[in-house]
Amino acid sequence: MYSNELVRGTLKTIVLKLLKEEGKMYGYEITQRVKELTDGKIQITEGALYPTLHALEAEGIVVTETMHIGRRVRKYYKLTTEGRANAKRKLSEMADFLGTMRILFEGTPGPQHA
Amino acid sequence: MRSLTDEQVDFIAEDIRNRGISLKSLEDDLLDHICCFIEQTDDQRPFEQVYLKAMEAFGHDGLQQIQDETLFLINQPYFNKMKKIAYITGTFASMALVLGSLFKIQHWPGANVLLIAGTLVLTFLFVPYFFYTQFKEQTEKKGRVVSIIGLIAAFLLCIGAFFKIMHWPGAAFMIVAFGFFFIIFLPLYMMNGLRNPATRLSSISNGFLFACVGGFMMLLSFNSSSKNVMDSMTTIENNNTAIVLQLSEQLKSSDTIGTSAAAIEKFKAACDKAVETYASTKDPGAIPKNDPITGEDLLAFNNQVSAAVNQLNASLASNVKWNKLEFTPLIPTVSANLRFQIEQLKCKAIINAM
Repeated sequence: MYSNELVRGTLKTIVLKLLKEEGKMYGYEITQRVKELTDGKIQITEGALYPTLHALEAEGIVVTETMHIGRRVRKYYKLTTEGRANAKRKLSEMADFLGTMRILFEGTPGPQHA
Repeated sequence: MRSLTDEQVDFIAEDIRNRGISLKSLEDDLLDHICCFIEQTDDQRPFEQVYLKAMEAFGHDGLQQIQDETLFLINQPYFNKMKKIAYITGTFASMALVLGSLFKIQHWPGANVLLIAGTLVLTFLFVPYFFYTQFKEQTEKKGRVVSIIGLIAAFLLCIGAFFKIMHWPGAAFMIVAFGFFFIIFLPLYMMNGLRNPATRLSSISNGFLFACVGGFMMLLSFNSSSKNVMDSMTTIENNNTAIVLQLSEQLKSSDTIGTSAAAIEKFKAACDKAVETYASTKDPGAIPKNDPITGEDLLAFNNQVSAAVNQLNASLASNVKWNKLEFTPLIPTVSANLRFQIEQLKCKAIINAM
């Protein structure tokens, strides 16, 4: 388990990546998929996930599709056209960020300063 | 794997609502989430125990916090925009008010325009925007009630102070009403702020500031509204009584009363009737709006009275008979007398309303 601090900043990007790959997902599915993909190292809490999903919906990045399952409603989230462009930007930013982090923490020699 | 019955799903939905979730879309999400969790857990214990375990994961007030966080994230962009508007309008309004006050003190032209613009922006843009963001940031009912009381108090103070500056009637009433709301608002605001460690410090300093501003405004308005005006009134009243006595003495000693005296009586009767009519309208709202009492009014009236006294004295000294005295110059005196009585009634009515 990583610290909350680390997960918080990346949650939005994780959600966007999953939705981009899977098409549409519901909340519980997202938490389970992340747990499974990361071997339980990242566990998204409901407390962080749902506010983020609702904020993305308010921003017009995702839309919901409802499906009735017995007495309850399941809401699938999927990217809008605008959301897909946004996700692409976010993902390339994240890739760049990971590269930078690697340089910073793995001591890869950068340009030498005299 | 287990399957939840309809009753169990309904029970969970009910419990979610009872724990403070009012957003329908969030309720749906959480209901599905909790149901999925219970259905897919390996825990073989009965439903009630598994459910309690699932809810434990949210912690005390956990659901409520999720909703607060959701609302916060959704509203944040609007908040920032509204806060920006509040800052800009607040800056403009305070600048216009300070400049307007300066112009007013210096009797420079344009003071009223600045004051009116400042007050309008303050009352109808800054105060609503400011309190709306305050209101939306409060997640508890109690906090929202405090915001609303604060909004009403601020409205009354802004408009009351403006009426006061413009010498329009009703200012005193609004400022007293402000005091009433303010006395409720301040302790509630302090209690609300002190309970939350994050806002403790700012609520102490804000509360202190509010108390200073509110107390100062009340003191200022109470002091200037009555004593000065009433003192001048008493002085003029005394002067006036002297004139009326002198006039009636003159009328008695005069041997040719004739048409002039009849005219005076007729005029006096008309005046009395007007005063009487006026006295019956105790409601300060019924006072003509464009007829405010000012220091200049009082001074002008006092001068008129002294001029009339001087004139009468001069005519007595030169032994001019009453019938030879020009009647016309006395009319302004009597009409000024009427005007004074009306003003006095107006003041009394305003003070009564307080």
